[in-house]
Amino acid sequence: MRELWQFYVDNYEKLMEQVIRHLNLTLVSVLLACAISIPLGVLIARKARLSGPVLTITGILQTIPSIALLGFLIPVLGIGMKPAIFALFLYSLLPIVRNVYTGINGMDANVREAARAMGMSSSQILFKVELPLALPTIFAGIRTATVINVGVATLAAYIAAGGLGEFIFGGIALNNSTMIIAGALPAALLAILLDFLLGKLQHIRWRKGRRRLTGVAVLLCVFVLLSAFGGVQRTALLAGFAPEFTGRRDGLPAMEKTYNLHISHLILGPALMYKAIHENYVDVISGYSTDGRIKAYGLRVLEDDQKCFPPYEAAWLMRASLTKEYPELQPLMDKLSGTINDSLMTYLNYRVDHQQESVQSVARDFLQERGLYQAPGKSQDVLVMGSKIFTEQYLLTEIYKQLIEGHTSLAVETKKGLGGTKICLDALRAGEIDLYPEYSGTALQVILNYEGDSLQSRDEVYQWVQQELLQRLNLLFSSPMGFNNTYALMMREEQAKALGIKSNSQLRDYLQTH
Amino acid sequence: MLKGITLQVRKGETLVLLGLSGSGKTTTLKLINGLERADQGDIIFKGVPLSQSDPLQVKRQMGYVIQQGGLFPHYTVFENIAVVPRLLKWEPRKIEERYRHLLEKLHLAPDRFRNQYPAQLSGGQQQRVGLARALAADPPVLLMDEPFGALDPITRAAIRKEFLQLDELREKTVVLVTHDVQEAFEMGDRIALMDRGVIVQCGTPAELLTQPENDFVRSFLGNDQWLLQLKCEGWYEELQKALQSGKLSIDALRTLIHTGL
Repeated sequence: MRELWQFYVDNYEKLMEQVIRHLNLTLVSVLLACAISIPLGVLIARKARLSGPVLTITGILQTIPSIALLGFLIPVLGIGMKPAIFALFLYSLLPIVRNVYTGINGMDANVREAARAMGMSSSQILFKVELPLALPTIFAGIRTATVINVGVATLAAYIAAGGLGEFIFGGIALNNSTMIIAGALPAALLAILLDFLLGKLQHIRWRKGRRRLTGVAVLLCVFVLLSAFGGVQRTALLAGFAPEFTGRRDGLPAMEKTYNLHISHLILGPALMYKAIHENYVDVISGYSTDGRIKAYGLRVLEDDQKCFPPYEAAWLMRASLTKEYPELQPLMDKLSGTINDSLMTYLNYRVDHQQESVQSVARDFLQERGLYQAPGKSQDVLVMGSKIFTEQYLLTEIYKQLIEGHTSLAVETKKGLGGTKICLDALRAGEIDLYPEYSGTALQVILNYEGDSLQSRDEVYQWVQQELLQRLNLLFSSPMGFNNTYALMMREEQAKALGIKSNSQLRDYLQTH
Repeated sequence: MLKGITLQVRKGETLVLLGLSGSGKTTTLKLINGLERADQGDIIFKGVPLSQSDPLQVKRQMGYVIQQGGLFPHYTVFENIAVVPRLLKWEPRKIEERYRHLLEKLHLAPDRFRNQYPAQLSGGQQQRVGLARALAADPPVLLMDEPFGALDPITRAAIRKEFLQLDELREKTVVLVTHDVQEAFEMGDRIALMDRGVIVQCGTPAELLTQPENDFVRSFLGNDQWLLQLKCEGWYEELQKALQSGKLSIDALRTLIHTGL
């Protein structure tokens, strides 16, 4: 509690900025959705033939996972507020359209007939009878859409649109519960508050305060639109960084300190970052040195010439008791230790990400080339492997799954898509998973919260991490697989070539002179 | 569904469309003000075919009363009654006068009910407000679809009687739909008996009783024949008076009925 208060005191301005941004995203998208959905709902209530298709399409839109939708939108709308608002707008359509339709259709047929019989025109029937009577239902739809949007708007942090998601995803990336709550709590309060205010708005005597109300609505729209599309001052090149990179001491802060490199940046989701640079929305990203998309999108990895990014050697993190329960496991897994170097890992990632080969077949090829592939036999026990949400981890779990199933009597169940270090670690400690691939640098910073700066070389870091994990958490860190997936700044090859930038130092020099 | 309907309603008369449910009487009523359109044929109102006149203007000249009242639940009593006058762009003062006049006629206190919503009224009160709404703009024609259908028998008889005594109604051309034979005989100058989309017989109550077109007419009126006869020959009222004043005893009446009048 005190930590949370301290966090708010320290980040007061940031919090206000995020709350206002969050409010913007939600309100603009709901207002736009109302402008489209209410007429659409009226239309399908009038023309029953259209109701099926319209409700089906809006229903399908609702089922598209938000991150996927944001990914689809980057080539069309870019990054920032526009795609975020558009995605939220799409998610608001169904609840509003459906409730307008239900509200009008559910009306007492006698009342509509009486209206017609009295000689009201169809627009008079709509505005004086149908809409006023459907109002409670319509409002319920708008309230649902608003509450949903407050939740989904957290994801806007993944495409540089800001909002409370920045705290939440930053917190998840950094294993910082205080930061997660710092974002989640105001988001929840915002949802409750908006729902409450809309409920109040519904019961205002419309006819009496109509003019005042219209004034308030217009002011609201102007405020929201103005603050939504305000300009940003920026350096010659624009960067897109993952929340994890900006928050971690060995990420952006280390880079700024070591190189004195300052660059305007947006917050982007790790999955969407590469697409954003490929589509020219940003010029520099904080990628990972073995990512297959480096090859796929023609990116240049800038050399870390002053060694500011710490080593991130991949190895398995597991419960210490696991090797006692299954003694055959460690010697088997060690067969692959040190055999996967950087370029091999990049190549494997590339085959999956760009050449669309399945993770299974790439893993099988890999093992077959080394004569380690065997068809799985009968299994007795089940081993549960976790992985974070990216290709490299999918590949590693698949390679070791096939290796273990081929050579032991263990079956391996994989839990893919654990959304970050914190989630993986919690799952491991709760016994939900038995092991997952982790990186020495991540363990150092995020799990063990190392604060000093005496550890420099790969070996030093690895030794310390292995020792501390066992002592503090009773977790075993296996021997490294061979590659080092560390942070790296990346640029589009052609732009980097044109500007003559090969290393982080050269990037700094360019920014200082432009 | 309807076949070969030919009807003439004279100015100032009350025509009753009588029949079982599904006989087409409501559809016929809706054809008159254009709520339904006929595949063939036309309606002529004030010498002009409906197909050549403005449908909204025609509807505004025909008051319409339906079973459940069809009152707008989000409008007050006053607002409900003011709907058509406002559509016709009446002066607010004229609407106010008309409102007071109608509510007094219908035995509802104008000030008390003014700001009440339909849900706060009893069934009988709702029905009266429904009638007031239909009469609000003083239309020459009044169409009523089972106006008393939703009421309990006692309220129904009382309100029916009240309606019959309204001058407003007496001067108007009324078309009333009902399945209640008693109601038809009590209210109708002429009755059109309908069955399966056709008019079986159309005439005064006495004509239907004394010269039934066929067995259907005879059996439709059958059960209540003697009572209807009393009604249409004006004896009913006298008989009631005689009973009330004690000149005639119930037992004597029973004997009369059993011996076949």
